[in-house]
Amino acid sequence: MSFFKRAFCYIRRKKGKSILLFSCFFIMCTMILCATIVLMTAQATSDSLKEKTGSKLVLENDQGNNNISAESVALISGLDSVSRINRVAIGTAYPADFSPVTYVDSEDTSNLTITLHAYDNTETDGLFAEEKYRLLEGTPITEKRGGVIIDSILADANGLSIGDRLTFRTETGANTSGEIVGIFFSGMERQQENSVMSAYRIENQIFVDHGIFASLFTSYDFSRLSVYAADPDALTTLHQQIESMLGESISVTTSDTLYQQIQAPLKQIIRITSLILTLIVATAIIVISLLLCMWMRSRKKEMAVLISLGVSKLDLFLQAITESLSLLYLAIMGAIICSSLFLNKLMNNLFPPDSLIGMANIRLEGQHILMLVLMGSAIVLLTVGISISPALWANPRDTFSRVEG
Amino acid sequence: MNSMQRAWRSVIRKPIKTLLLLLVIVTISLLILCGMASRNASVQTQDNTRQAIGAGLRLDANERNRFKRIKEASEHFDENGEGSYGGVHQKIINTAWGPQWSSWADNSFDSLQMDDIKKIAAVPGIADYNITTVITPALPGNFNRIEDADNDQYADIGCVSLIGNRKMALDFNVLSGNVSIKSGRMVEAGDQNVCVISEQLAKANSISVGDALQFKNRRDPGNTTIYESTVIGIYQTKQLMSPKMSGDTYRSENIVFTDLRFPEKAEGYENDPLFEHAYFKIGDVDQYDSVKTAVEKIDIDWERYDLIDRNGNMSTMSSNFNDLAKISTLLIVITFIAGLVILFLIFVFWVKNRNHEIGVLLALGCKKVNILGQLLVEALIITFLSFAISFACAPVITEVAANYLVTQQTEQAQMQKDINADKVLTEYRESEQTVVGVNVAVTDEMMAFCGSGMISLVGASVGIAGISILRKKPKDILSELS
Repeated sequence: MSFFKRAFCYIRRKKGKSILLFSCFFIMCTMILCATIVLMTAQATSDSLKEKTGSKLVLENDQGNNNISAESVALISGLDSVSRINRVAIGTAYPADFSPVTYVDSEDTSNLTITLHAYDNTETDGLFAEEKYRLLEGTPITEKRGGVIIDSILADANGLSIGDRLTFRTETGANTSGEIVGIFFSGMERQQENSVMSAYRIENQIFVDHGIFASLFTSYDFSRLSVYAADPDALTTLHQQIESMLGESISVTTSDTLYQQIQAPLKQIIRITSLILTLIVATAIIVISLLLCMWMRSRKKEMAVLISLGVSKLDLFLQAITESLSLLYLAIMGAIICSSLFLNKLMNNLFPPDSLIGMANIRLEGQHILMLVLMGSAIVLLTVGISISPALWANPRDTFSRVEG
Repeated sequence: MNSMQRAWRSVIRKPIKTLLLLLVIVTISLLILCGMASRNASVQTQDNTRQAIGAGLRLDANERNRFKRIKEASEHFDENGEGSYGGVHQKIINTAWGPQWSSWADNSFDSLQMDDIKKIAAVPGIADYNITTVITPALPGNFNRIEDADNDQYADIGCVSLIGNRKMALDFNVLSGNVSIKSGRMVEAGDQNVCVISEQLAKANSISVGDALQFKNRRDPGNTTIYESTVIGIYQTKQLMSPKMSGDTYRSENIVFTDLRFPEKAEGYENDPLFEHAYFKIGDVDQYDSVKTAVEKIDIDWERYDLIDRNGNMSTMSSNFNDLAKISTLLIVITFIAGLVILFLIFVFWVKNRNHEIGVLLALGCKKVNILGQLLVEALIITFLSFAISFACAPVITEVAANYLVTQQTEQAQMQKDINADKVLTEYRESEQTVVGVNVAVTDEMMAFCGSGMISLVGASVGIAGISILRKKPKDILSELS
């Protein structure tokens, strides 16, 4: 009988022990695979937290002029680590259907115009984000919802409210209107001198989306860019890449204070989770090794009988390896199926489908399974080899003379 | 020979088998203990992260209420709508767009009330608070401000901006991380006639910490009254602070942070301050909602104020922290269940290997109960020995784990400091907050929980395996190949 036939006969014959050994392997493998998935989930959560810290690079012209070109913006947005960009442009326009707030009796252009600030998102950057302006009513301008945000004093002076439309025009004759979606207040309106011209008064600072701005100024550059990175750790590299693209009149600074505040404890969480996984793997190695040792030691008499019947020691070694590896690979397959079915169900219950983790669709990858197979095989080979050696090298007569229970 | 004696002899007669079983139990119990300790460390670290993000409440004046109070005051004006009453003043001005109303009020009319602020600050859960004045322009006396040479300064009032704070560390520009100290210190509660200036202003005027800066009332520049403050710090910014108004008076480099009561002096309105914001820092972010509820119950005229949540970052990240908490729990549950199941299977395996021995003892007339008792005693002896070893090893292993968790963090923090040292020359001694301590400790509760769980498990596994063997007759047991 060949060694693999003997191996499978043994597994079939000793159902109880085989099932026990298989169960141990199965539990260990499932534990390692589950811990791996959990670690990946922790990493995904950590990455989400990092992104939410809003770490960014701020590019701005020192004089506040619009001189960051649209081509530069296109190049920057094509960089790998850039998750989004908030563009800011400033320009002046004439109010077509409302009056600005002014206390100056002058026909100067700067006293007849208002200042438009175009943003992709007023909530995350600029005076609203710095808490210098506060929205009293309505919603901010975001990538998903545009519109116009005006000062509360301008709104009161013109009888305007949320939902009304304002029309602007430029000297070139361009004309556009937008819906008021927000009303803000700064608290400094009353501190201004009466001699301040209309375009410079806080009441006449109007925030619009880029669609409205582009209708008035067909091609324009930007005065400020906030370049957000999904991974704050990539900011340094991104900083270098962007600096090389821009001229000297544009400063590039890093803004990642919140990330710096939570960076240390956040990395700590991942390291703790990795530590638990390491402990699990180390335990699995030790337990499987000890278990195989116990199993092999209980078969000394069987080994002695087979040797005295003329079976070669290599054959016996290969038989023992085949038995253990068969059970191990079956256990790994079972663990993969169990992790895929049971754990995914558990994760869906714990983390709703619309949550980050629910949408991240975390799955085991081939490399994890390959690592498990290779590691398990190496442990089995080593442990079976070490534990079976005394039985193989001992004289069968000496083995028979010892009473084994 | 009774069961106890047989059990003891069995343990010492087969030292290798005993040792193997001992090692398995030690390994698994260490895994469970370290897993529980690591989970506690993870929970503590998550809490540190949440607290690092911070949260607070901001108090501002309610603009609609102000309008209502002005309207009430205006009922006392003349038929043209001009006049003064209760700190409110109004007159008509002719402009390019026709006649317009010009209204203004005294500081006391617009200011947040100090009594109300102190009542809120006294609420349990409020760790600290700050009051910020309105930006107050003042003429520079013995220094030059930063000006843009290309800009026409005709419309500008030629001042610098004073921002008074009770505690500068809680100013929004500082909390956002944009402003930090380069040398000296920030304004603290109780400081008087002090200021913190920008590094650009300091460099342009060769000012250093300890020098005296002089300011004059912009409304009356001919007045020789000088308002002096001592420079206690020089600040730097990551990005220039966005000016609220145009003109070099309000540009970032010309912003001077002072103590709370200095701006009103430089404006010529001593004892008539204008407090624009108040910020209340919540001590424990987990208590945010309950503290806010307690604040809202305070007996003040709430119509006058807006109480604004300043926990945007926390609420954005709260779902992530909930996920991390679930992950920590899931991991320990997996570890615990798997560990206990493995132990159960190993004990069953161990008992199953003793078919022949049990059959011989039954054939010799030993009672089944005694044999079961022997197996249980053996298992308990090995288990107790394992506990002793794992409890002795657990503190060492958790110490190693804690050092592993902190060491790399320390190295990284030092590397970052070395990198930054070349970028910014600073005399400011920053606090050592870059390393997060982690407490990976095995507590008595964990040991008790682990120990009692494993003893129960040993009893269950030996009982289940033993009973399945003892149900059979000796002849059937002996006829089975061991």
